[in-house]
Amino acid sequence: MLFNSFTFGALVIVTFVLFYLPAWRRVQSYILIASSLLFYGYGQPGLLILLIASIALNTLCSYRVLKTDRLAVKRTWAISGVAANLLILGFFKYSPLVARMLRLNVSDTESIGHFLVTIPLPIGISFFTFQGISLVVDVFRQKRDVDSAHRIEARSAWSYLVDTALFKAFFPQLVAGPIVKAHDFYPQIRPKFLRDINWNGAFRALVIGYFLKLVIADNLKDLTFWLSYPQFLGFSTLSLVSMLFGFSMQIFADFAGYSLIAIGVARLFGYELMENFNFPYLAQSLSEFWRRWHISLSTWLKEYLYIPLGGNRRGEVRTYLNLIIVMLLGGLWHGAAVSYAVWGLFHGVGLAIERFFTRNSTRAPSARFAFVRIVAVFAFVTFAWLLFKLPNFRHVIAFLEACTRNVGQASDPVLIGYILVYSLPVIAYHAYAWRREHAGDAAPTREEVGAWKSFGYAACLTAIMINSGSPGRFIYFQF
Amino acid sequence: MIARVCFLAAALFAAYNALLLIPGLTDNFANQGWRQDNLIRAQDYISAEHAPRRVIVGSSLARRLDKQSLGDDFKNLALSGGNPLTGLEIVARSKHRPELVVIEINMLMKDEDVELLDNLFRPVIAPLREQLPALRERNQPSNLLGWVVGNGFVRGALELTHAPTTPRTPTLSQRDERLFPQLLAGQQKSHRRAPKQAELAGRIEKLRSLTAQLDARRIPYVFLEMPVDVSLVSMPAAAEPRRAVLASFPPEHYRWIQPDSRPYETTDGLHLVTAESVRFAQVVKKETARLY
Repeated sequence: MLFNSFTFGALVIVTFVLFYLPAWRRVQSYILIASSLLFYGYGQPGLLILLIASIALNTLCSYRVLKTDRLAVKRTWAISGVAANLLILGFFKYSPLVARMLRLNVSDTESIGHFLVTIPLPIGISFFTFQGISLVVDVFRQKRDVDSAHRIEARSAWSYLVDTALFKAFFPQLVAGPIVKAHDFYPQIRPKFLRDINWNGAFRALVIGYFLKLVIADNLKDLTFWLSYPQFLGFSTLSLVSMLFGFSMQIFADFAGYSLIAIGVARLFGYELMENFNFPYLAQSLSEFWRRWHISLSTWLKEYLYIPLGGNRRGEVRTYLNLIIVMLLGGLWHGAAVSYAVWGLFHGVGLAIERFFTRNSTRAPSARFAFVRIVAVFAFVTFAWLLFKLPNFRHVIAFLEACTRNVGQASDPVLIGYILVYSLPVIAYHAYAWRREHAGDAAPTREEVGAWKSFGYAACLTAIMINSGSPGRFIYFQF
Repeated sequence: MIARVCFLAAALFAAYNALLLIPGLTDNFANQGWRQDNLIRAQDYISAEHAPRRVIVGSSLARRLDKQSLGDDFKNLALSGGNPLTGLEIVARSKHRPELVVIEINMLMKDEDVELLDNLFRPVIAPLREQLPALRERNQPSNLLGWVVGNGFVRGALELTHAPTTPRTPTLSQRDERLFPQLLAGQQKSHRRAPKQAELAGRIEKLRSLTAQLDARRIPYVFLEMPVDVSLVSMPAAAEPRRAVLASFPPEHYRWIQPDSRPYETTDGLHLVTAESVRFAQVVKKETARLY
């Protein structure tokens, strides 16, 4: 079920009404779980088997970790839980890649190779298995004296199962994040009241989220359609670069839009999901980019992979290696293809090189060259998105060849014009954030901002009504 | 804040609707690409005051038929990237009763465009669209803005005096000899795969159901296969659907347009070059006139 479908709107409204019925307050979690299962299984009910199995497995492992005092037993259950999550992810996501890398026979329908390449990829599996790992690790790491704002508790086995089902299946974030960490979500599970809803916050997130998705990403999608093989071969270099620029804007609008919708819908039910994007194209370094882009994934990778690998505590060389390993695995998390691994490696090596050159620098970067740095980081990141758009590595090479070959060819001004028109709101969105971050004393007053903000939100709402593109799947659904 | 924003948005929406009433304002609105072009043509067909005499449904292959050669009698409802079932469903569900429907069968195995159909026939929104011009796809403000920026700013800044003034169609209009072998090889590769029998049976069933609806409304129809590169004609992806349609709608009982026997030149194996789309449009016009 897509966030931009009428079915989803109906589901949210019905769930909302039932959720806040005073007589049903005791079963609020059940209502959300039922809606989440409907959301996930809509059109493909078979998918529910895997989700329910994953919930059961993570409940069992984490419950055993919680309920025992013996460290060795805790560790055994925690390791089993992490391993089981990774096995599920590996089986469904990486079997085709393994079959191809081992050059197994895939053409014979009776062969193991054919079986492996035809395993379906359940939607959202990368997200909910990472949440499962987070749960098992968080309860294992949880200290006795942890504060109540981060405590994961189990009053009874049944209530813990219900809480875990809600944590894993909560529909606003089920299929494409933000990846919720157990220690952030469990403490929020309690009775919710209509009076506590953050209406303004939910409204703002929903308007901007739907604007980014429906108006920007869905329209850019049709303009960057040509970035597919062999269609792009006939375009001029300038058109190709413009389309890549447009794709960079599209992927931001698509995913940031999705995350904001998820945050807005969750707020309607009294849950606060973590911010997933913080104006990433303002980043002045790669490390800053990863603190601003898909924050829930980058913090997950930091907490559950980079730090356990030793982080930056084991010397310079090991730090560079850890950065590269984490980004390589982060790349493979996105998809089981060589191009995703190369994308991760590209970022990992970039981060390592950046760290090498800034390791002794104690001075804050000069503001004078901020714009140059922003453009350089944007160019690096945008170039890497090519590997997302063209997962076949040979097509990436063909694109680069076309870029060098078609320099003198006539460009398509209409195509470039439309890309500019749809990219401008994203640029303005970032420019507004830049001003907010750097204005200092020159910042406009609350009243001045208020009037313009209202007009901005109204313009976004109007654009949603009159300028939405043809509905498209969210790019991150495929991961 | 929410009430203020909603009030402002309603005012902006009303103002834009009023603006669109100015005669000639939308003359320079261009579509942004083939997907929007599909939607605009389908919305125009549904909201037109009078039914066109002849309608063509199909894919981007029939979409390429030269408009001038077909003449004003024809409304080309063939959809780029689509299959004939989408167009047939639009004809079957709309209020219009054309005198003839030409069904291009080449891309029967492409997916039906359910999103487009959902957009066209969505309850509440579809009737509102008839009353509020701002809700029509062709009136999107960016259709003017993008065209002005592209043809004004970008064209001027880059001195692109000879560049096209309209958005690109999904296929080339002329053969690029350098690209043609790669494009044809791609088509040959995809045409080697035979369609799944269950899927093919489903499409034939849907085709039967939709033509039955046309029969019920006494709308005559005729089948057409667009000419493609000779190397593709007998490959499984082309031959099996053709065989299945012929078995269900045999020429002894149903009308088929017979193309001339000369080969046609394509840009990529599938889509006719401009000159050939003129030639074949004349064939379609002549044949439909002979049959009806």
